[in-house]
Amino acid sequence: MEQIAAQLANGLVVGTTIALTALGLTLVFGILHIVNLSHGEFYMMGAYFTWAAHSVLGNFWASAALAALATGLVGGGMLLAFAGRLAGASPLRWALLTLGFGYVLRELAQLVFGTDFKLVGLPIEGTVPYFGGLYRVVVTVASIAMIVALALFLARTRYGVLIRAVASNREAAAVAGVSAYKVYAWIAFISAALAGAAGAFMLPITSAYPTMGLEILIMAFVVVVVGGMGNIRGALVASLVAGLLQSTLILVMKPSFATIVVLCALMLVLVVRREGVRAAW
Amino acid sequence: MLELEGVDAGYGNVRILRGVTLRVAAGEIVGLVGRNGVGKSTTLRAVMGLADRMAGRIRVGGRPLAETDPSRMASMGIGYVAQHREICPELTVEENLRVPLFASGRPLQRIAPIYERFPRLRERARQRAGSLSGGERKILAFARVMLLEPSVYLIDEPTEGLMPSAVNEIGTLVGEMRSSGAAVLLVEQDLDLIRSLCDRVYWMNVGHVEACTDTFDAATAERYLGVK
Repeated sequence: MEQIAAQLANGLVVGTTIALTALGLTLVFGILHIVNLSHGEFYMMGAYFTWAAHSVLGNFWASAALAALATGLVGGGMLLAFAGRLAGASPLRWALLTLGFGYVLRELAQLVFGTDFKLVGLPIEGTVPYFGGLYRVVVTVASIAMIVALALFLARTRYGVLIRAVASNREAAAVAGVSAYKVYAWIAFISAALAGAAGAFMLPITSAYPTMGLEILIMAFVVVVVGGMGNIRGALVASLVAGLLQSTLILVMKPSFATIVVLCALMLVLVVRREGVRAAW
Repeated sequence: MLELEGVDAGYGNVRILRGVTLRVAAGEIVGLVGRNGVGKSTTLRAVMGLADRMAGRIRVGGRPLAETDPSRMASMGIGYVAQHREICPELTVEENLRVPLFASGRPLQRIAPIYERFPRLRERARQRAGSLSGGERKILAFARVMLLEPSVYLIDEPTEGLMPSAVNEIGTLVGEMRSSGAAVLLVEQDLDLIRSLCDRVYWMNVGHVEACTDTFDAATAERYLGVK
């Protein structure tokens, strides 16, 4: 019983991490119309930046916050620079460009940090009955808090309304005086920072390594497609289902098989409902 | 107030307007009429920076309009009501009204008089704008523009597909814009509305303005539109 509860708790950690990454992916697609295949590398960047900052500061939480900020600035800046040059480009062109950029980032990480795993010890020791490690609980709560904060930001704040206006009708927003470029800057930053935060949170659990972004990207991408491209709620639900399903399946099969089963299940959803779960909302 | 002189415009390599020249004074409603595809909407979009300007000059309030960023036009006193997709359908009615105020840094109190003028919008304030009827959507589009009290209104076929009662309401609104001292350039297919509202009419034909008349008769309409 305790083992099942621990796996479900682990599923929540995995699910919320996928959700943080997938949210950035779906925001950038829904508003900037960019298929960002280098998004996984933003996640990797967050983990490495945290490791680097931690080796200087010695404080994990401050390092994670700095890493998320730095990833937002670097990753968001990159997206914005490309968006300015490639306005109106086809999704395929964006996909190829960001695929190449992701490759460059991975190679750079390998060059700078090497191929060995970079690990930071758990910043919080202790366990919670039925839920396992305290750190996992804290990370889950922090991730959920970030998702709720993002939802409130989009729903309630001045910038949130302007962002949704551009997402809803770019031209109607522009003639009302909304600068699309400012909105793009916000979204590019938020998207990359969320992925950076997810990478930072996973550093003490999985450690940092150059290809870590590829694994999360595949799961996040499928989740975004199943959730309905550009649909925030759909991506959230699909992320949590994927995380919980994967962690539960690990109880009865090898982790790599569990990932295959989850991906197959998500793809089955796409075969049955071509629009993903969006039609259900 | 608004002057176009020899304006060429289009999209990419396609030149739609060729030497469009027209003028709209403050407190005047000027109609822009012609067959489908002659460039009426493109004329408005060229002013807004939504079509590519290729030649000619545009002046607003006597000053050259060099700006081509559509999001800067509202701050220059130009209000635009598009023919289609004129609102943000996923936002509520209230949020649609907040957008121009948030973008310009003006106070939200400006919405109160709009609700007094358009009680139906107040009733539907929390409703998604995409669920409004065609007439209500058009009223919302007008209200969004009126919030910023522009000195120049560019209005593109506002009555298309609307019920007669909604057409009358739109006519009243456009009349109020003139009363406020603004210059109104109105693209419209409803000749009765054009006749009742406009001080002058520019007749367009394949990318350029062919004539300007104070009033118009059946022969003029037949000549440019093929209708009596």
